[in-house]
Amino acid sequence: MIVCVAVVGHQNNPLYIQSFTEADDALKLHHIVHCSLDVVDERVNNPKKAGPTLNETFLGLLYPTENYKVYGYLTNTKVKFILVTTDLDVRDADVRNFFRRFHAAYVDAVSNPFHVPGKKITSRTFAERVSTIVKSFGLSSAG
Amino acid sequence: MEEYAEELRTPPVTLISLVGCPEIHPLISTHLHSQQPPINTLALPDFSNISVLAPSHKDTPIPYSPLGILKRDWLLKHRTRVPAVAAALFSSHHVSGDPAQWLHVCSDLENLKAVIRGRNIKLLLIVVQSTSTDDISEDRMIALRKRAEVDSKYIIMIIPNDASELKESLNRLGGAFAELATTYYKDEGRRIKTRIEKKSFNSIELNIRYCFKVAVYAEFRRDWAEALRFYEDAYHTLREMIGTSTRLPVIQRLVEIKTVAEQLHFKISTLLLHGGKVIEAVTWFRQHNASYKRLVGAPEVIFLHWEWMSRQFLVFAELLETSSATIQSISSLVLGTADRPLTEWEFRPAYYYQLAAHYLKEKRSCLELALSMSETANEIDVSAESVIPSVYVGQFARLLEQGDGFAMQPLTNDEEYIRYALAEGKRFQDSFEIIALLKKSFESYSNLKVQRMESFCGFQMAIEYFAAGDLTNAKHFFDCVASLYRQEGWVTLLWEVLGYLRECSRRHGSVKDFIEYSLEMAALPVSSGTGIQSFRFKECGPAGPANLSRREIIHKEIFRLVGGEPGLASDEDNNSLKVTGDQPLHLEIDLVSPLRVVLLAVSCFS
Repeated sequence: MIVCVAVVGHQNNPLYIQSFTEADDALKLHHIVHCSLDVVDERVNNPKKAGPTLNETFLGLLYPTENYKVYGYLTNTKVKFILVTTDLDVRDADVRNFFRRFHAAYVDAVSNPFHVPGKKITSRTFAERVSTIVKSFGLSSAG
Repeated sequence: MEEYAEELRTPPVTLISLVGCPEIHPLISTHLHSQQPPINTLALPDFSNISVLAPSHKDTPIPYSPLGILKRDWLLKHRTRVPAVAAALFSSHHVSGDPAQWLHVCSDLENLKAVIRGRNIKLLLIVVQSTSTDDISEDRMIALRKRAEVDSKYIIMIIPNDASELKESLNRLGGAFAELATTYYKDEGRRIKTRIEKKSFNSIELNIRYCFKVAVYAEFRRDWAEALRFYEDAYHTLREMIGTSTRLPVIQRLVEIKTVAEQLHFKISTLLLHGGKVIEAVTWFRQHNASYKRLVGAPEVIFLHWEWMSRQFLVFAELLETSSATIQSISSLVLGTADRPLTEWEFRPAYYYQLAAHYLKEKRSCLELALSMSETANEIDVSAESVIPSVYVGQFARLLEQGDGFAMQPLTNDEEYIRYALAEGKRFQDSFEIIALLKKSFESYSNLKVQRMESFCGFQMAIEYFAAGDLTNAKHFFDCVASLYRQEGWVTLLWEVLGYLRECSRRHGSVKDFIEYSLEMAALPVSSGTGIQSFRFKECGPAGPANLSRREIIHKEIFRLVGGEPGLASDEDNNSLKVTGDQPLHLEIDLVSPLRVVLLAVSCFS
């Protein structure tokens, strides 16, 4: 189950962060997302370390922590997407697929003429779309 | 790692024994100890002492049901009390002396042989000559060799007074000892291995014990690959035992299994890391973690599980740290495989220290809960005093006085064990330990210039200090953390930290800080549709959840405080905060700071 997704801007400032959990650990998830930015930085600055090639947007598993796994994605405009999940066995293909759809939703949201680039994403449509994508995570492997 | 016994932490060192001629023991033992690999010596001055080498008890019949998995003192015994080789030292005078002396030599030799036979200890003869001109008749030497039933290369002459000869004979001696010791450990290992192969055991405990022994014997021979293989076998067999074993009461059974697993895991990780196989070690740790993480056990003693988990992380962090010299650079490693990717973080001790702290926190809260639940909390100490670790690893027994001596009686029921565990748990100050772990992690991250992880550790440390009442330290760390969150615009996180800071300054009675933090909080753009849910009060720190109504409350508090209403934000120690005419307050606020707007509002409307 995905417990949190986030969009993080150039200055590592949060543009959108949403947790999907009943338990009261939302604040903890904020901390986890924030910490994961260190890993993103490290991957981006030392690209040869990570398995994927340089032009790959999907950053893979950033780090496992307590009961969570954190995945990252870096768009070509250097905006970061972070995904936190509680699933033990996550297939990379599922995560890639998720990020691809999430990216599309993000592009639509920031293409809104009323959106100010670099500001928080407040669009309700975007939020709804994200929650649909989150719900369908892992259900359809082919996507 | 310090809490493990010395014999477990260091690789085993071959042990040999010297019997007779005590005057040259120091000479030989110093030489052996300086060898590579070193050999330890158990020196027995006289043949009358040799009974210590004898097996302590008659061998139990092979198919018997053991009462535990591993014996606590087995490893220590083989490192300090059971030599691989016994060397009988005779002076050349006695060997070539009159028949009475010769007879004495022969009987000493026979006695020694009889004693060491029970343990299959190898025999070596050393004849000490006072000068190189001493002549021993060929016949006597042959007779001696025949009596000892050893190969002629295992009779060694030593002339302590002749430096050049001595060096050579000591070298020969060292070689002979090493050779015989290897044979001994190989034979012993093979003997036990046959039992495993023939499956001549009727319990899974013995299977694990045998694997462990074979692995230790392999370690004595420095055959790391075989040692690793058998430790792993033991580990996997042990894991299968969970759920099938019924020997002990439920709680104690799991405790025993976890303790043994911990030891095996420790051995495996150490071997992997010292062999430079960092990736394998990290992967192994991950599996270890995954297979035991969910075995929390009975609800009354969940804290034991978290304590155990915390120790796993701590020990692995320490292992990783000590072997980091062998890990040249993380960047040169190819991380993981496609299906089991490893992240660069998992190669850093800081990551494990941080999680160790996390699990220790979990332990603390579970222990507090368990203590509050147990009605007999106050009587605990009395009955738990006489409980001590038993002869088996991971088991406990009650020490009973019986006449002059003591007897150990296994704890028969889990209630007794729970009482003991709770009493033990109460003795420790977890928050110091948590801070220490976090500090290690914090420092390590800051060396790596990993800012955010560092901040997170600092933040958790600050909370611990805050809870412990150490406001100065708390404030220091909170301030560091706040500046990062401020810079990167993480409003919810900043809100939380500021809430703590505000509380710190209130308790400290520092008006200026209190107002500054309050103003900053009041100015934070919270709840502006960023999808922040209402967090529950408990985890939000003193400021409560970041939302508009909390902001409003804080607003009003400052209004009243600045307006001079007394006694508003006072704390218990009478340090009431107030702003009065005689003590005006100067706040320097940056032109671009959002505080300015709030302050304007404050001064306009108050």
